Amino acid sequence: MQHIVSRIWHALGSINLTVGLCLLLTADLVWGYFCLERHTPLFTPLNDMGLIPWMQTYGSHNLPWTVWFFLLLALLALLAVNTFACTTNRVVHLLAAKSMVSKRRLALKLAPHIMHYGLIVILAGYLASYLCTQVLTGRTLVPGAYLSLPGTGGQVRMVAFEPDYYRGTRLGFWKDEVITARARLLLDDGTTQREAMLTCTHPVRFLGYSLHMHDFAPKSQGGMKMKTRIDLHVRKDPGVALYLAGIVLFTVGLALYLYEWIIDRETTTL
Amino acid sequence: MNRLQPGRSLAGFFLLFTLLVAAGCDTNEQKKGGLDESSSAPAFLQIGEFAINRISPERAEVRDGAGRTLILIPREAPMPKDVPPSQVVRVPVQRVVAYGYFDVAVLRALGVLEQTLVGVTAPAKRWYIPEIKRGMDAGRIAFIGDAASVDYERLKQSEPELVLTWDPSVIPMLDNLQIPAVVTTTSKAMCLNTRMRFVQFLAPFFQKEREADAFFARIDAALQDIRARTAGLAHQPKVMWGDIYEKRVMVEPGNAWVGELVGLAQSDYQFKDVFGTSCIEITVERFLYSGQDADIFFTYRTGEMGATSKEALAKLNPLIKDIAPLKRGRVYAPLPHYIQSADRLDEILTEISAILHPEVYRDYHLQYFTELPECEPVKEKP
Amino acid sequence: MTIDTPSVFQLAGTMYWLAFLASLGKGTRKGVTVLLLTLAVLANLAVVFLRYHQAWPMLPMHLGAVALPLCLGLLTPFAGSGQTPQGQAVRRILLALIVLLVGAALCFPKDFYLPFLKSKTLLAHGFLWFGLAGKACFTVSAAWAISGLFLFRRTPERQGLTAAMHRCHRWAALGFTLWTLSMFAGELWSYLGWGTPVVWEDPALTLTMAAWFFYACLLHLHLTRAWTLRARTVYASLGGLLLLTLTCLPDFGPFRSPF
Repeated sequence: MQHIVSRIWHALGSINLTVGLCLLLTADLVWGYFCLERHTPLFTPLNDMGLIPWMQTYGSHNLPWTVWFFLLLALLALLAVNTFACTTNRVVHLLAAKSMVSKRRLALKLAPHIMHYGLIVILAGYLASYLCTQVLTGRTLVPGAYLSLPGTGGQVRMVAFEPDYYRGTRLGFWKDEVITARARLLLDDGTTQREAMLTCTHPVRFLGYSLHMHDFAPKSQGGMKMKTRIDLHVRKDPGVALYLAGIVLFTVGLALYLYEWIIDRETTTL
Repeated sequence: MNRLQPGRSLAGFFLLFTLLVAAGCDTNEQKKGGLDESSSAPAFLQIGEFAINRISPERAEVRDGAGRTLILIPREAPMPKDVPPSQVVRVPVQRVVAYGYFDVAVLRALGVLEQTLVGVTAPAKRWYIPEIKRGMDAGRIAFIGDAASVDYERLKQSEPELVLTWDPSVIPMLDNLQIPAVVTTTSKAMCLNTRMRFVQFLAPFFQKEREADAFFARIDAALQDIRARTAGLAHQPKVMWGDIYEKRVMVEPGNAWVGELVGLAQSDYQFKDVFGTSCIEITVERFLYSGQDADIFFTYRTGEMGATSKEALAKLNPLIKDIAPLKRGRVYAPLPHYIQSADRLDEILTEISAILHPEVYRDYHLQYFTELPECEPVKEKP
Repeated sequence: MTIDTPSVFQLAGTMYWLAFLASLGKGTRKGVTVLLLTLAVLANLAVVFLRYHQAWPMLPMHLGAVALPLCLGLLTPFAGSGQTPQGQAVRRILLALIVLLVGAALCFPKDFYLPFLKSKTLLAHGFLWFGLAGKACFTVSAAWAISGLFLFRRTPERQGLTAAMHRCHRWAALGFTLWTLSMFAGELWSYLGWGTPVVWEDPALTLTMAAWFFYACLLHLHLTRAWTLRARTVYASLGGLLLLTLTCLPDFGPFRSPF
């Protein structure tokens, strides 16, 4: 039994499997480009819907255009397992022989494996995000209106919309248009209140939720009269910390790897 | 280790996965649905960015143009506890307020306009639909104020069970009033398929799926006719649809229904590569480049907005005075009732095709567009 | 006086073309090549500056088509030594690719979209420029593989091919680093702007991921004995060119006569 497990473990950690998976992933993603380009509305709900509900609706009812995505998930899952097995095997060997090399050498040798573990953490973060994120879409606030955050005693009230309009001449098409959309929010957690500024590119975090400005009005001083509003996407995403940590880990490993490849390594037999 | 083993393993896995997916594949959309009396309603229907998901006979989820989810339940069903009341719609809806001309026209297509419409955001003088005029005269349909300044007291008095709107800024107030709202516009332009099928999105709200299917079939028949008439035609006119306002250029993108229709009618839409929202802004240079050899130009402006002749249009927009349709081609402006005629989509599609290919539509009389003359008509002295 | 961007870009293309022709010569023409390349890069830089001037602080849309030749032009002198036949071959391949890219950008421009507000962040600019630099490095990597393939196709000399593939790997590693940083910048930009690191509205993201896996594969190929050196060279060269074409695709529009 142990022999079978060992064989499976080593098969899962095979570098040939890695190569094959990377090739399949490349081909699948190219296929996905053409499917996504022609059927974007099928995939847009993935931004807020959650993976399982999406698979049960858009995904399963439009298989000719979405099967590449299911394949992508399977390949990524297999890649994560393969990466873990392969990397762990090699890290074990490296650590077993660590007394024979310097610390600097060991760190450089571990660089690709730090990247590999970083990749696994990133993929885990994405999975957690797509499975567990709570998203409240299309939450519109007008000045004075408030939004209650589910599961908390928190409320978000829009105090004012304070945009900057473009007054220059360089961007003719942007004349009198909003160049910075800024909304002042009042965050009330039931005991304290604080103000926060929300912009298009700078979300506000409050009680575990992140508030993102999806749209706003009016967009210009002239033109069609629109009432002042901001449209929010409110998200509670448990995967954020994971994929940010994965990004940091991967970057550290990448820096070490690059140092080794470009600066430190001599010609090797390939 | 045999060099080929990993390759065989991978190939086998891939084949197995494909077979599993194919075996699990069920693209039959004719599953029996619920919440309606039609046995052919699909369990999940996606129409552009809108969607209907029939969870059970007692519950359906709809996704509107803003990505919001609403729950449809039968009128006599108990209120679900997991959803705020402002997101629950009891069907069939009996009282509806509609913001947009398009939404009103779709209600007309479903045959529920007179029975259900109780409020609009345009005064009586701006309407061309006889049912609306009659309803407003009789006091059944209220003018609740312009979209930018809705009278919420008047709206509340109309006691709507549903508001169809393109303006999300009303949603916070409607939530306070516990009136559900559906956003019927999207960030991307409606493609032809969505334009035709939008009636099927609204149908479950009124339990008029059969009427919606009949409407769709009528539009589809018109499209088939257009395809048949224009198939094999040698001349493929180049078409533009948009306008310039001061220095801002707006066009219909290629993914919009007009762009797709032009292509379907054996014509060349000059902005077919442009993708995005309706009235998308592009650079002046691109507009003028596309106008160099265009044959036909559809402007957004109506006669009331100054589109009375090519000369008038050129005066309004000096930038476009040299584009080919104004110099030697044809220019068309929508008539005032065009925007309220979405229930006559089949006729509109046919008319656009007739404009593009008059050679196969002999003696066709325009009903929704008008061809702009070269100059302003000379006014006779009294 | 307004400067016509397409005209300046045509000038850059002409200079690149002349630099390529000069590179085909020997000896004293090296100085001419460098001069022409410098002029071309300056003209190209002017185009990129003008596009930025028309969009800053937002991101110019689909800038890749005009900016990638600039990145390649800047990298060409460093891509390979002008003293060795291999280095010269790599430079000629790069110049030929630059000319092709400029021609494609002139004939298939996609410069009519206006910038959008959510691109007004340094992360968006970082996403663009790391990506362009990465793509340029990938192109140099492919050029080394192509040079190895053609220079050593008839000789059994392994050492030359090995050396070419070593350079190919180094450039691929550098490109992979920059491409990864671009992806991370893009993911952070997406998260801050839209709330999710992957926004399923832009099909180009799948091509970005495809390129990432392609080069991840290339960087692993030397660990497996299943691929011969020649097979890896073909993978890096032809596959690299194919990926370059695919990743450039979203930045090109319909045909428009440049004259």
